[in-house]
Amino acid sequence: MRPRLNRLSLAGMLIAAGILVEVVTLYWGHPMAFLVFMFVASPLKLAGIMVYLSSLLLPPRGVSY
Amino acid sequence: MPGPGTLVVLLAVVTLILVVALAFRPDLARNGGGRIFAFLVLLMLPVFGGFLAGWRHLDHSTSTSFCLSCHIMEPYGASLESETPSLAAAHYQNNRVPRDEACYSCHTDYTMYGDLAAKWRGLQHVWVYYVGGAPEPQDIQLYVPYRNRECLHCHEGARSFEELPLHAGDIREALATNELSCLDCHAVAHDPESLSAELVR
Repeated sequence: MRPRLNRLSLAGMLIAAGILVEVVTLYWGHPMAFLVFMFVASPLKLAGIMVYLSSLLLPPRGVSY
Repeated sequence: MPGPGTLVVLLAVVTLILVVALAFRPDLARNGGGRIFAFLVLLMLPVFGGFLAGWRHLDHSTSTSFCLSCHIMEPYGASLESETPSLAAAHYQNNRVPRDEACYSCHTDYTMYGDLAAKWRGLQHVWVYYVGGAPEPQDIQLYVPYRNRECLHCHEGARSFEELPLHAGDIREALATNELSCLDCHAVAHDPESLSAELVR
């Protein structure tokens, strides 16, 4: 698999994990839910988005699309 | 019709399906249309969904049940139903505040970023509860003295408030500047000691 596509997969997995945690917090009525949303779900999604953006802005050398 | 919470979850699930599809088939993003698809699925939808989820969390944290989900708040929750005379009971039992947002109605800041300030204080509560050592319910104090602004948000302009001679003149000015607290005359807001006894009963 090409490097950029690898990064897309990684981005997708990170974002998917973030969304999963996010959905769980939406059904969890405890005050801890917001903290988990803030400090687990959001960073996972943010990391995925950063990986995706890096795949756009920093294309691997020698590979063109 | 599904509620806003259901719609937020529905959007998250749809986004999740698309994201997983893209994670396992990244070659979908190879051509022009696929890149736009990837942009939507890996950036726009997660960001939009994140804001909606954050809004849901903020909205949920205004509910009375949310505040009372902490064990330490039980006596204060009991104060709403209590026959002991208190401001909280009078407001709750006479529908002067929405019952499902009773705590929030009096303990938020009625300012532009009052909701966020209230949420920030809530996070401090969680920190203190888990890290700092939770105080006994009767030892809980406000971070700052209760401001009249929060009372006047509803009571200012109300006939029962405006027509009372005691609220006129110098006292009105003192209330506006917080030199005199509403609670100086209208105590008690809560009465945790008697409330604890009621819980035991």
